[in-house]
Amino acid sequence: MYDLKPLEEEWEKYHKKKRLPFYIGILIGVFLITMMLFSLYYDLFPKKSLQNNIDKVGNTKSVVITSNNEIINNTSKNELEKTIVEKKGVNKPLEMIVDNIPILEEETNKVIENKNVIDKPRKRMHLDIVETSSLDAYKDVEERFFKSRNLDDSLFLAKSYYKKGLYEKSEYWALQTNKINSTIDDSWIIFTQSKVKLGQKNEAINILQSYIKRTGSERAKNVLIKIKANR
Amino acid sequence: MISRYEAAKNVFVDSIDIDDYIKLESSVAAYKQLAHSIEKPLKMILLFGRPGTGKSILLNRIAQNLKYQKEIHYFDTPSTNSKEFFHKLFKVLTKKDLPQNTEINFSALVNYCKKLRGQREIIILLDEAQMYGPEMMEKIRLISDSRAVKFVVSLHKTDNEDLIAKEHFQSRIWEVIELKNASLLDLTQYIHKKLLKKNLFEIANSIQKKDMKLIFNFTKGNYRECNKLLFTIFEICEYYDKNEPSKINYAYIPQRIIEMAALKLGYIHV
Repeated sequence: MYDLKPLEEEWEKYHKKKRLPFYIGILIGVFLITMMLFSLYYDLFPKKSLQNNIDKVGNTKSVVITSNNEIINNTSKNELEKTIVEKKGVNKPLEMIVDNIPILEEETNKVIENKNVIDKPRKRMHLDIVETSSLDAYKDVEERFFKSRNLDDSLFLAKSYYKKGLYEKSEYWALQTNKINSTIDDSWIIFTQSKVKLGQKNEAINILQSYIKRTGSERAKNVLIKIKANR
Repeated sequence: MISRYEAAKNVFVDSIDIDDYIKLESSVAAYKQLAHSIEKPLKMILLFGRPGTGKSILLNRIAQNLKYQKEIHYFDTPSTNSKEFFHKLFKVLTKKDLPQNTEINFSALVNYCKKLRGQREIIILLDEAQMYGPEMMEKIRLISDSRAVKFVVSLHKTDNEDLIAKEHFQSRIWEVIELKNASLLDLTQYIHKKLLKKNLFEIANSIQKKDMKLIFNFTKGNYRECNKLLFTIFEICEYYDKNEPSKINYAYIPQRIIEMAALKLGYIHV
């Protein structure tokens, strides 16, 4: 067998390279969030700072009046008013952007809704494919069991069907296994657990109790306790 | 006792042994189509597809299944020259070896075939027929015109050359069967069935849906590539199992190992 060290190192490099777009995505995300927070901050605080300016100018005015420099004072007041009007004008596009936010949100929602509409059937199709595939593969094992009566096959089918939630089938295949060898813990456990799932709890308890009596299986005892406790 | 991964690795050794044939919906359909075409009064049947789509195993299986019902012969390796090919054909037709220091007279051979019409129906399965030159193919066509010998010609389909477009095929092939790469569903079934056939239940269950998708993406559904990839995956698993067991989990195949195998085979690059 060859030495895997160089291959492991190559994989490390590949893995880092593969994750690079992910890290870049995170960085871009963080950058965008920062920008958004900044723009929100900018949207709220310029008004306050403008108000501060007005207050400051108001204070200046009183100072200017006391110094009797009315012309300069008027000019600066007009300029100040102009500045305020202009600054309000600057704020207008921001208000428009704020007004536009609900529209943007609606559109975003639509996009998300559309995405969901596209995604949903895909997901269902995928699940169908996998289910059919596995069950089809099990059919081969079933056919083989009827020829060979190999308990590895029947136990595999019992376990697999139980995992898939097909309890009638898991019960059937566990029973087939029990017929060949009646001392396999796994098989009896699946058999009784399938019965519990099929609503035959009392029958399952009776079967498991007689199995424990016969074999003294510790695993079966634990399962019996769990079944009785509805766990 | 061999380890579970060694056993799994051996399942994916590439072969055309019919014991390794896996019944899939698509492969069963191709088999039925070919068997049906052989029954028809056709002179030549073209079986084509990309390398690794299962042409050779299909020919081998049909040869094995029909050997007691029909006079069917599988030429698995192409002859390097026409002399060798006609030598093989002579043996099939006459059931005798060509006497030493003798050569085949082609027109006599064609006449001999014409005399066989109505008495015998011989089917020759020619694998890797892209190795035969145009002149050879022309001679094969003339023999098939006798209607005593039917040829199933198996060819690779490549990106650069669409072989059915070739003049001598376009005009003379009467039936075309194309084998394609597997779908994700087919490939999943293929892998599962191969492992289950050898009783490797736990390993079959340890390959999850996302692993199948990854394997499909790397191999594009090509059976030969799939065999290669899975062989390498289990080879790596076997190494870890023997030397560094902490790096392996028996419940599932880590994505890292699949990617390492893909790197080794050149499906992905650093």
